[in-house]
Parts: sequence; structure tokens; C-alpha cells
Amino acid sequence: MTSFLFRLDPRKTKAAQFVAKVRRELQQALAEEEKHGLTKSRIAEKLGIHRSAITRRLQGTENLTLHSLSDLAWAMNRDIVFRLERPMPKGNEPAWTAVVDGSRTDTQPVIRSVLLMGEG
Amino acid sequence: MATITTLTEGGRLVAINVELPAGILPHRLLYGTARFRQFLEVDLHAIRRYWDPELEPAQQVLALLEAYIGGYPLLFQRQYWPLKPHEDGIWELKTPDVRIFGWFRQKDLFIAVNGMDATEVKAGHYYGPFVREAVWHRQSLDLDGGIFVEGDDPDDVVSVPA
Repeated sequence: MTSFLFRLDPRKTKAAQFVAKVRRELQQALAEEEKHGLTKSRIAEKLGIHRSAITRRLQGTENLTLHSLSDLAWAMNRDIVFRLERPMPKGNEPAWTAVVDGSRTDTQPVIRSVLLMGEG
Repeated sequence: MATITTLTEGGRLVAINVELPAGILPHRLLYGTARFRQFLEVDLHAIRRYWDPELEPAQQVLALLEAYIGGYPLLFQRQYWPLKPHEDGIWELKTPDVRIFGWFRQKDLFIAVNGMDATEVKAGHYYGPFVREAVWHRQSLDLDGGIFVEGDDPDDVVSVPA
């Protein structure tokens, strides 16, 4: 076998993707705000907590509650956009096929991924 | 001299994929040894969650591989890190509870050799043995004459789509 699809059950996958997305959004917002002078220390000061707690929340080594997420958004002057959408009906999903060369010296494609919207 | 294609066809490497969210296309490539595949299929699921209160180690790795393959920005030091000696070009992909060892054959093409519980790696001082294992494995493959990305510059090993 030349390829291996690493996957977990849909429930665990959904959680992993959601948590990772929230963390990425927080880190990206912080990176953007840091360019405008906002620091982790300043965020911690606004929230009345230690700077290390901000780091742990952003790193995922401290539990992030809805309230603490809201606090971080407030301290960074960000609005939170949250939606729950139904997956698209089967058969109507936009299908993507990507073929990527593995190296400059290889002529055969080495990854073929088909991405389908919704749970699978 | 071997190529990625001959090594995958011969079973010495396997292309590792994950199901990316809708609308996200693969941007970086991941290959693994048979040992790494076994790690993903078996060993990983026995690692106990310690540092991440939200995600199990297998979920952490799924999220990391999704970020890597999907081309999301990766956090240097927290999600990927060059191991010493830097001239060996061995890197670790990191989650709070898991370490994955390997090397970049070229920018955005990582070859994973092995993985382990992060706590065990640190407690047992296993970084040296994993570096030596990865170097040995790279040499044994003779992939395109053994070329790899040297050094410790994060911009040399991963790019972010525009």
C-alpha cells in the first residue's frame, strides 16, 4: 500500500477539528493584534490574570471555557462569530481533487485527496 | 538512488493523508516509515492525555497533521522544532502530548520516522536516540542521494500558502 489515511471516528474528528480551529483563530487574532502593539502581558492585565495563563490557554494546555474564550475576545477587542450549520445533503457536496507532486524528481503524483463537505 | 515513488512503491515509505475540511486543499506533503504508520495505528492510541485538557493524543495528532498538510500556519517551537545537532536536519512535529521525529527532504515535504509519548521522550532523554534513528533511516533510504534540508531555519522547512 502506498498511502495511508489517518482518521479517527467522526465524533472525535469533529472535536479535534473544532478545538484546533478555535485555537488557530485565537493565535491568529493575537498575532494580528501584536502587530498593533497589544501584548500577552497587556491582555493578562486587562483580564486580571497571570500572563502564563494566557499562554497556556492559547497553547491548549489549559482548559478553555466559553467564558474564558469570550474574555480573550474582549481583551483583544474581537467579536466572536459562531454558527452551527447543517452539512450539505449527500450528493450536493462540492468535491475537490488535488494531485500534488511529491518531489521535483518524481513524475508520478503521490497524494490524491478527495475532500467532501460534511461528515464522512 | 531511490526516489519517493520507488520507495512508496516498494513499501519503504507510505504517503500519509488526512481528510481535510471542506474547501481546504493539501499544501504540504507527509510520508512515513512503516514504523511511523504502526505508531499512528497502534502506539498513539495507548498514550495517555496529560497536557491537553481538551484533546486526546490521537486527536492532537490528527489536528497537527491536518494543520501541516492543509497548509495552516504552524507555530515554530510549539508545533515544529529542529533538534540538535542542527546539521543533521532532524525535526520534531509536536503536540502537547506527542512527539513525531523525522526530516524534511525539501520544503513542505516531511518524512516521519517514529513517534512517542512526549512525557516519555523527555523523562527518558530519548531525543538523542530518536535523532540517531532518523539519521540512520534517512541514510538507509538513499533518497535522491540523501538530500535533506539542513539547519534550523523554520522558513526553510514549511511555507504558508498566499
